[in-house]
Amino acid sequence: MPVRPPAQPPEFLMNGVGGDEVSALMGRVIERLDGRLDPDQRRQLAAAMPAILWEFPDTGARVQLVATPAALCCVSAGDAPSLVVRMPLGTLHDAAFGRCSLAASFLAGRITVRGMSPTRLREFILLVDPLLESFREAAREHSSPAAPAPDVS
Amino acid sequence: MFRDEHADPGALRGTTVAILGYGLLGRPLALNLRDTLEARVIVGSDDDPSSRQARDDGFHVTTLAEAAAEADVALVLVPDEVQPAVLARIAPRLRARTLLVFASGYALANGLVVPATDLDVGLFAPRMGGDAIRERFLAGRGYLSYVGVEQDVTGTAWTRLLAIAAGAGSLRQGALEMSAREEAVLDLYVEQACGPWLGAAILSAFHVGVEAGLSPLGLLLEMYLSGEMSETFSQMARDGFLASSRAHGYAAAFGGMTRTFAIDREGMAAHMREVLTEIENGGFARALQDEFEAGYPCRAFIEQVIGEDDLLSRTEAVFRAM
Repeated sequence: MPVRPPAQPPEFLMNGVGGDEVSALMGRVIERLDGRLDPDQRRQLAAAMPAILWEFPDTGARVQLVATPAALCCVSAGDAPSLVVRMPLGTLHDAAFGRCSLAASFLAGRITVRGMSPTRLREFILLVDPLLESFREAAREHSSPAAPAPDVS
Repeated sequence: MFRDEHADPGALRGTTVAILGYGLLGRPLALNLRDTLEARVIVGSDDDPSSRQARDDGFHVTTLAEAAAEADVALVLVPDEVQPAVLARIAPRLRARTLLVFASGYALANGLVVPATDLDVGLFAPRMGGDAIRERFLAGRGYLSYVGVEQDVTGTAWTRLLAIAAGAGSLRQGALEMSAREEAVLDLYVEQACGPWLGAAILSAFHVGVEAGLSPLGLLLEMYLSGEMSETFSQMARDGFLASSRAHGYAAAFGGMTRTFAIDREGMAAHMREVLTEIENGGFARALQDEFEAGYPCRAFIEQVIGEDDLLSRTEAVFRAM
């Protein structure tokens, strides 16, 4: 019976991108995510889980999303997050690009969400699709940066 | 422990017993009660497929509100989160002195329903799934349940409640007295504290074993497909939780005991305390009611996980096709 292999690192990770760059990438993901949420969704998120820490053990990166009713922003890991999401960056990448499902990754134990409770599930689910779309855009941009400006000297 | 000899089989003679909801629990209880009580057993349901099933089973079926209006005893057998809305609809139709019986303490314990003061209110909470309730009844066996009286204005609440528990087949084994509050907390706590750890243990053992090259089918057979594990749970009930380990030989006791020492029980206990707190302070009930009132926004996500075509589910399918 075929066994699905563990998630492979995304291409840009295989090219030597480390924790700092992952943090920068996640910053751009969260900027895009902010643009995808309407004010009601942002308010719900801020009330239910104002700080979500993402840990990517395959890169060493730790990124915290801070949600306020006005905006989402990304900070380096802070104190007392409401939730701690721990998953390989490769899994997030593969889910964003349709190579694996988040449900299967959760069942396989590749994703854990410390602090999850029935009082927070709805707001967490609200984030999933916009987050994957935002990651897809940001990862594409990261893998194919704009061509350097032509030398006109 | 209440048993058949504590119940008066004639206590409900000539009365009308309404089964409100004909789902997982409503159907087996309705069938059992019709087979035993000298009472008219009717079904109230506002759900089309359930109503059709009840008619096919030969019951007089009407709406929840109409059935409640006819009832001397009304069993509330709709899902927990739906009960407040159903009670709001039927409350004006319930006659004084009716015995309102809940099969779960959830709504009463969380203050989501407050029955009128001219009603008797009881709890009859089977500790058995619906299919097994009917199977055991037909086999002449009983099943455990919790019973309790929350309000007794007629002075007959206990007599009528025990007649229901006996008629439903539970008192052949027995019923323990319990309040709605305690039943609700116990039920939710074990579902949410113990269930997830058991589930996570099976999932993790499966995936770790597969990654190490063990047979997926072999892993599932060891854990539950063979039925050995369910037999072990039966042994725990029969011989004792710890004593049952003797039945598996010294290697199992030596290995199992040693490995249990190494588990982070402190972390596990901390998680369980958080779960219990959220159940006891009403946080879980508020989340479930919000989920219901918003039209079950999390259901699609939960169904997606349950229906995931992952290796574990595919392996089970292979076994079923053998």
